Amino acid sequence: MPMKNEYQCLMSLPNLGDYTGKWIAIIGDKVVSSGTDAKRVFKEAKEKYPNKEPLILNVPKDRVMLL
Amino acid sequence: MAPFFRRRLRSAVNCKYLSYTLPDGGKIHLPMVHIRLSISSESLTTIGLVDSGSNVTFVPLELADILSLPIEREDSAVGAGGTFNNTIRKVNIRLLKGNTSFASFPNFPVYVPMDQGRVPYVVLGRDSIFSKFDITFRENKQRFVLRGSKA
Repeated sequence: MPMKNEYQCLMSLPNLGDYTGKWIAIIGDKVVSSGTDAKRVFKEAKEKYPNKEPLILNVPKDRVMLL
Repeated sequence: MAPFFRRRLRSAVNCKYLSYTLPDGGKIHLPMVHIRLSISSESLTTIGLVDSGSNVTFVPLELADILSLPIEREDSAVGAGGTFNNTIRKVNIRLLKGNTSFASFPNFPVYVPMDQGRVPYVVLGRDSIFSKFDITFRENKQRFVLRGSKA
């Protein structure tokens, strides 16, 4: 069975809500780094997996949002 | 018998909303697409909100800083919280489905708010994704469909 890509992993993460308000980096099928500093989260992910391209995002915490 | 008109089928990309549950039990459902942002030296993938209410495309300051996107100029924008200042930068944007890119916006000008947290994620406005696709939101199914727009 082919491995899930990062976005498929994000879409099926059962505990995504635990990361609300934080930045997370996903590589392969797991969250490899998280925190409040996006640059550090990205750097940590790249240090762990230098040849991979992480999916990085801030997990939205607001239920109602008007940008 | 010849048909009165020939219906041209346009390829469709079906997408699911990003859905999850907050620690307090609240539910979040957002029409997001998987995108790649890149410049020559660096790239990352992230999520982009499909937002017809925005006439430009925004990239969070945090992501613009990771990619070290050079600043072209400055401009203000008006949001629900009032007017805020932005830098305008250029970045390559690709829309992804699975491991395949189905649309690209090379060297695309984006607004980057000067304050951290002003936009929590990339906002794909009418100048980008809506210029290439007719988009149908199926809110009750938490899905949306992108169809290549007719010229």
